[in-house]
Amino acid sequence: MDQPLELLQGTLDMLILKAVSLSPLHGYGILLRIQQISKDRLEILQGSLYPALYRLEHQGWIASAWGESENKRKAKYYRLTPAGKRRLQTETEKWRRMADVIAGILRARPEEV
Amino acid sequence: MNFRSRIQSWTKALLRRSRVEREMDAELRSHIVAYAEDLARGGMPEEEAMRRARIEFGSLERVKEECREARGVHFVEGLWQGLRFGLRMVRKSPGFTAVAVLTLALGIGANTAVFSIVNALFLHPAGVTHPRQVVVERARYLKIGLYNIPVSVPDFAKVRDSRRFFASAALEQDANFNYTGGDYPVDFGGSRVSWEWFDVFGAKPILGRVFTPAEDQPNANHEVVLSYGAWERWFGSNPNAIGRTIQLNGQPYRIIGVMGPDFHWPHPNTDLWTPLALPPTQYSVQNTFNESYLAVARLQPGVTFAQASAYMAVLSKRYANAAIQRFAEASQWSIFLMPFADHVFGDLRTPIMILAGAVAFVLLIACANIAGLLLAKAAGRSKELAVRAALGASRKRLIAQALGENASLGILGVLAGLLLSQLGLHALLFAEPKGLATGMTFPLDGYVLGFTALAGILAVLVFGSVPAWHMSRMGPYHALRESGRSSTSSRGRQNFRAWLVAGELALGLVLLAGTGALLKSLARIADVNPGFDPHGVMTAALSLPKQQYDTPAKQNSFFRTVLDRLRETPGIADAGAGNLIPFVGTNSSASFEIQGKPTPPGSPGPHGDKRFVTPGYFTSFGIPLLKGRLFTDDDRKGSQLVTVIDDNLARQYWPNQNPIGQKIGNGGKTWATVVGIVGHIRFTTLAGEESSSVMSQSGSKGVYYLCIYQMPGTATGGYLIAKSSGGAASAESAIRQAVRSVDPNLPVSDMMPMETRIAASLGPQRFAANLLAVFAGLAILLAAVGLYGLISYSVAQRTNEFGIRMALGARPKDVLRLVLLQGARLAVIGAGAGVVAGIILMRAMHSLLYRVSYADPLSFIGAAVLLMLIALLACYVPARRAMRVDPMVALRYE
Repeated sequence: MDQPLELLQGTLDMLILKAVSLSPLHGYGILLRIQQISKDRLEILQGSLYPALYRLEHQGWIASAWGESENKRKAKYYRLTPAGKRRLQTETEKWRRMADVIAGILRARPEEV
Repeated sequence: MNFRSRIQSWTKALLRRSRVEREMDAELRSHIVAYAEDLARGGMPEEEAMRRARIEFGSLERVKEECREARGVHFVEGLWQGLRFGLRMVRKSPGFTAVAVLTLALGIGANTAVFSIVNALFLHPAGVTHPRQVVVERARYLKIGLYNIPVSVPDFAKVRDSRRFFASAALEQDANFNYTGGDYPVDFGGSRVSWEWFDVFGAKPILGRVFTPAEDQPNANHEVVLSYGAWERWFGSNPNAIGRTIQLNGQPYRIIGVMGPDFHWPHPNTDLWTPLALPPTQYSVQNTFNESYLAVARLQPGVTFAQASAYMAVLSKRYANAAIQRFAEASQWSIFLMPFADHVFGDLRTPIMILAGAVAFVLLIACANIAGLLLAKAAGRSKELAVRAALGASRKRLIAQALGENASLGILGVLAGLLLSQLGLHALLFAEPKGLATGMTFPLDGYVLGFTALAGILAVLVFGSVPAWHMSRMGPYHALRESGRSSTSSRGRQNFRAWLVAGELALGLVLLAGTGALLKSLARIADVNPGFDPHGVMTAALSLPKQQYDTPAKQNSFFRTVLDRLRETPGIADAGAGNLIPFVGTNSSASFEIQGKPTPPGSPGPHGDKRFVTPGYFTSFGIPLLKGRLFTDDDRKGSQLVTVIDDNLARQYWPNQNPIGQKIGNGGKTWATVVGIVGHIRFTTLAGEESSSVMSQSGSKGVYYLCIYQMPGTATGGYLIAKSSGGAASAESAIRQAVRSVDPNLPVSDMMPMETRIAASLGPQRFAANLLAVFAGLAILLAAVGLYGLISYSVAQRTNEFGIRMALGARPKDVLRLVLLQGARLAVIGAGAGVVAGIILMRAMHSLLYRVSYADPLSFIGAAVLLMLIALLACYVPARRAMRVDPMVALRYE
């Protein structure tokens, strides 16, 4: 199995927004969802998740409410706000363009320069 | 970025702190438990799973701290902590607190007081809804030198009929009403208004109703609306007064309404309103240039002042006929609009704005002083802050806490300032020019409270951010090191304080110089010769009721008898009467013709101020006769019509000729022969252009006098003038007795010595000068306190140094000089900067200055000398302390 990749700076916010855009989740659920989708290829420090969640909520992109978890525990569920939805779209778009550009640069061969 | 969500999380942080904390704790713990359960499900022993989960999660406290930071809680919490901490400090150091709060209270109080006046006069005049939409229509003849005069009925009709721009419009004329229903005759200050008057101001009666269009008709004018004050004073606030009929000028009037306590326009002391009830003939275009009314209008919603003004230019050009067009163009006539507040309080605008600037300076100085105090205090706390910064408190958090501390000072300062402002307002009202805003109230309303809060917040930000920035800028390394030895302590901080103090001194100098220039100008104006001798002259107004004095014979006889009686009174040297007297603020002028001198086309023709007087008018006022004769008792009805002109008129229309024997007239049928030339007298102001909010004219305008006994219908009222040998006051009872002996039911009003009227005309200047002097004194006192604080602190810091100097042979005198020089250097820098700033800023004052330049050298030099003296005095006390340093003690002192 490959060594899990460390998260690029600044991408955690985007992943959280994506994760809660699919369905409302609690903090641990977000962690699991990202790991599941990435097939465990991403390493997320558990401690760094919560400050990010609080920051996103402070900025109004996600909202939280207490609910009951699958194993009957009280848990705080996060969901995407309309503002968050727009944010996710622009971030995704930006990321695609950035990835294209970087990939293009890395593909460059001597004869192309 | 979502602003609302931030406010929400900030409020949550503030108000539901413990709950948010609890929830955060629960959330993080449940994460760890869930993870541990997953691990256990994978086959790990439960205890081991819990341990692993905790380790992988990391330090719970650190995560919590990061979460708090992410929520922006720290800034709010820092403020909150700072506020509580600040209140503790306030209790712990009462001396510092008292000085800081008092300083701030003086600054804020002065600003609030001045703003209350600005608010009540210009922003929200009492009783007017949406005051920005209310305008006054005025007329001007640029070629004749009339720049701002009332309007005629046809002028008003133009505005009234332009509904696209004006929602409502009304016409007004002052009228006195003699009320004889009470125990003694009372003169009510009345106002005859067209029916839309109250709509223009958006004012509603508190009882009854106001006029209907049908009541504003020539034969129906027997309704009256009372002011709240008159209703309270004369009808005991009785609601049953509505419907009652009272006698005004001998006619029955039915009371139909009472206005609220805040509505009193057109004057701050109007007692009642009756319908103007103009007959349709008044609207004839013949009256286009016959101006004697106040016209007001309310702009349609959405119409701006500029748009309406532009439309007035169009209206002005719509001439009714060719003759009107000829005269209008020759005299450059037009009608224009003025904001209502500017019309009523225009004379006060410049003084008030200057005072507003002055109090802003006072507040700045106060802030600089407090900033200086806080900097000094911060020096004592630098170690504590350094330790906290070294332990990881963020710069943002330290600033937040410092601001919170200052906010507690700010809150106390604002509260004390509000209190001071209310006391100060009484003092301001005392100094307020008589007649300019009498009867005005300056309520502590929402606008004033809002302004005060804003001033407080700004002040806290200004004085608080200086030390906060200073504190946080300093790295922990510096602070920890610096606190080792005090002799080299905080150079930068001391320098900064010195700059603050120099700035304070500069602002103080500007205010001192401004005061100096104003006082000098006042003295110059007071020296102006008005052209007559006001000493010992008493004046009083009266108006003869039309019903009782219905013929010119009765009117003339009244004046002749009263004046004769007055002259017979012992102590009265002379007596006279006139329809207008100087310095009551009103004036009247008219075009005339000169016999044998036709007006050339394109010229507006001769024009002059016109007054109707008795023969005693000239002698009572001591107006000098230059040539010919004055009116005599032989100038009566039936004798040859004569006129007396002043030297201005003579020079203007008969240059190098003898006007005596020339004939002037108005309309061609009757001509008045010029029989005498008298000296020109100042009529509305002592200095400069003769202008007031009521009427303005150029100072060189000529005057022609007509005798009231020769002009039927001109002796219906006006002013009595009594010259007394024993001072003006002794003439008061003489006037009252003379009038009572002729007509016991006739009230006399507006009794005032002539000298008082002249002094009152200087009201705006005196008002500005007095208050500017107070604020300049306040500013310089605060600046001196700032300098004293700085030097004292520096002396305390340098005790060690002085000890060494003296041990090495310096004499006390040398130490004294050293300290004084430090202060003098600051004062010189401050004075220099102040002179530069003053020359730039005092330009705003030039309209208040008479024959004094706004860059008056004497004022600036005087201010600079005074500033230096005060600065040296402020330094002297700490300098003496430095001089007495005992070298042995000082060297041990650390």
